[in-house]
Amino acid sequence: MRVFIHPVPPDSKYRIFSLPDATGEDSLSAFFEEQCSKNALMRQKAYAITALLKRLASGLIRHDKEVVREIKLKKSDPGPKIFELKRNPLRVLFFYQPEGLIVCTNGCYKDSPKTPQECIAAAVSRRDAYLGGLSERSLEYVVVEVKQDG
Amino acid sequence: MDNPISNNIFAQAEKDPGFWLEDFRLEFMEELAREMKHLNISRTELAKRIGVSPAYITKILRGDSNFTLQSMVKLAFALGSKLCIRMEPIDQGICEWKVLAADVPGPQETTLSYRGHKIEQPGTWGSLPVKTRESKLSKPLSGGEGNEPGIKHDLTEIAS
Repeated sequence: MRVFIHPVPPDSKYRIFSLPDATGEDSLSAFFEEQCSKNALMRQKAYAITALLKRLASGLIRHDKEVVREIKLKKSDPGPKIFELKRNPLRVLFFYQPEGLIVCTNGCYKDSPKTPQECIAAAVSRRDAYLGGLSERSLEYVVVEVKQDG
Repeated sequence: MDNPISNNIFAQAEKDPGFWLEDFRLEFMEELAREMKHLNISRTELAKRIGVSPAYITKILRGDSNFTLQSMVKLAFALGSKLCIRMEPIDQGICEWKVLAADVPGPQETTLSYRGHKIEQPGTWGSLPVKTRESKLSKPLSGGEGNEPGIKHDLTEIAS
């Protein structure tokens, strides 16, 4: 499994990893680009969630239900808690790992009050795959490139 | 290890003033929330002070409101504060990382380019506008929440 590293400013408290989507590509970049390609409004929303993610990495965001909310999982769920970063109508789901890692599992567009179940299921399954890969030492780290203009 | 294939969303977003608008909005709403907490003022109380509904305050704290300069000053004033604006250069520091796959014999490295500048010599910054810092990962990461004890992330930062 590939784990994508999104470089953040040097003074950040956390570092941002993201997990692959169903096609094996970086889910965070794919989500961002998908929203940006829709229209000007969604591009702005994508910027908003990116700004939020950057501030989350800096440790400058309060954890309350308006901004960062814990997803309620089954009590039997053994893994680390999954949180969602909120900026209507977008969500980015992630979990924390030791030593200042934020691992993003996926993003979703939400047009109802509740976060779609399939989005949560994808987050849990990717989280578990990541933890499995970690214990099997089969993770491959890929630093996300900065695309050159033109 | 594969070549980097994707796009750094932060670097891409930072090229657009729309990103900085959102960043500013977030800064304001975080500042507002912090000050409300510090003064122990509820949303209802703040709403009452400026003559709006509590729902409006919630909307602001959620980042969903497009507030004007006037409403920002009003909110700050209601908390006994004044609004300060300053301009500063956009921080362009993005770290370079060296990534070591855990079970690959002999370290395989992936070196990050910084905004199109390939960094030829790992560990040196050249003239790139990148800040250096103490490495938080000078030792391998060990297990913790959600991990089996002793499992390590073999990730080492070049910057030191």
